[in-house]
Amino acid sequence: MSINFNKAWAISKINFRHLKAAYIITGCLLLVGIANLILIMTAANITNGIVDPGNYAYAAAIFAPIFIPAINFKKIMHLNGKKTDFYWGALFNYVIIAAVVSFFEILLYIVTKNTCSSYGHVLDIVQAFGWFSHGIVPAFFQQFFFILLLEIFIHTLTAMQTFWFGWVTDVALVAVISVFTPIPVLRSALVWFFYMIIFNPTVMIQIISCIVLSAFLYALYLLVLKKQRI
Amino acid sequence: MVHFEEVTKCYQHTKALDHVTLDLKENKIYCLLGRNGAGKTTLLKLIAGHINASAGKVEVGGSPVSTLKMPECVNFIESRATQFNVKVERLLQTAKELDDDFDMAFAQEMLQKFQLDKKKKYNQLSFGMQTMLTTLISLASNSKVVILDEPVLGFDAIMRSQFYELLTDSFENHPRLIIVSTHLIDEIAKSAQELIIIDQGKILFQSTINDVDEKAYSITGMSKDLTPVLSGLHVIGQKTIGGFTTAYIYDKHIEIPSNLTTQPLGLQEFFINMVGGNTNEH
Repeated sequence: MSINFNKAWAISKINFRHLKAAYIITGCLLLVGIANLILIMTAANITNGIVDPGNYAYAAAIFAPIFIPAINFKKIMHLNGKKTDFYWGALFNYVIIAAVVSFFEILLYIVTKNTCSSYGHVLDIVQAFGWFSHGIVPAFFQQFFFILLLEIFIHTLTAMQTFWFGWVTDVALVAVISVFTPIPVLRSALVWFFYMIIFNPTVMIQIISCIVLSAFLYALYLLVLKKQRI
Repeated sequence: MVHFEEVTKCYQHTKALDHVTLDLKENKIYCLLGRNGAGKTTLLKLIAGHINASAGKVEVGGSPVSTLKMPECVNFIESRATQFNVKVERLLQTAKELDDDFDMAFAQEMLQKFQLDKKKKYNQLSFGMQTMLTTLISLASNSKVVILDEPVLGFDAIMRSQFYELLTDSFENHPRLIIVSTHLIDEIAKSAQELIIIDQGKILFQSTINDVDEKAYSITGMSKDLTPVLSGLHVIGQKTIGGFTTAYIYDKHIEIPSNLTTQPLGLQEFFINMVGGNTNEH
């Protein structure tokens, strides 16, 4: 499938302009997180854990892939956009959002750790997933590809919701989690899956797992896009 | 420019298009007529690649069309389409970003002509104004194929008249293939060059408007006098009231006896007769 870079980029810019709800939600969460941090610092409270406000930046990576296929898609098509341009344009959005979120998440974590660690342990996704153990740069890329996978997963799932197979996928996902968790053999499969995409101690394996899964999901989205009504 | 070959489109058990074969040439205004549910929008969506055909081949500019191969040279905005709720001027800029051939100067000129407030947000416009804006966006595109689906929906008489002016101006400035789907038949006749009538998913008629003007007429008279005259003519409809019959003809003009009267057939009457809506006896 050929790519018209200019058109895809134009669609990407339009998407960015029409993600106000995602920006507002993310902004509010970040403000609440920062306000909470200031309160802890001014009251000089020693707590068990301080939530890094950077975690809330993930909201952008969660809400953008909901609004782009659910709202922006039709409106872009109604201005004579083409599906293939939308396909690549949305991918540009997700790459940029993933890079920005990953950068700010790490930046805010470093700032929070340096200013607030005396008030309690700083709780942060990158730290919890063990990505910092390889240094800041690998942590950025590990997080970047994980966020990209998350965005593409949400995007594809959202786009599917207008079809019967979207609902079947929802039910299947809930069933997999609820059935796999209590059964030890199946649970180990689930653990292996998350180990591959999140906790793998080898940076390259974790990154490649995320890339392969992202590529598979986005290729799957092409089949959904083909059927998606304008 | 646009080629349909044995195209069928089914929605579950309903056939929206049934083995349609059609050729549309560049630099012409086509008028697509049909009753509600006749298959007009399906046909237009197939050209734009909004939907895939169930069978057959759709080509634009020699290239096959599908939902993942939407032709770049086709501009199709449905009149009831939802748009971003931004200021009119912003919406035009967005349309320009998506269309390399968008003529912003023409769009701005038309905004003024139709007194569309460019500072107003899309949702603040009346239904007619919203339709006018989407129609204007389509016409400002210099794409090789422009499709207008019900472009005068919600327009008052003045707006409709302005629209036909706009259509003619736009075509004269940039001749291209324009397909207009409408129910207001006689009005579009002033602008369109070719007429396509679609009914129950089949192309019933395709010819020039001039051809219809020349060949479509009615003959009225006593039923017994009329019957012999009609033999060999292509009768598209017939109506009998109290022994008097009006026959609607699409054929060459003939010499008729003095006890019969003949009248040219308006496009609307022609259409009604073609789709079988004006027949109480055949």
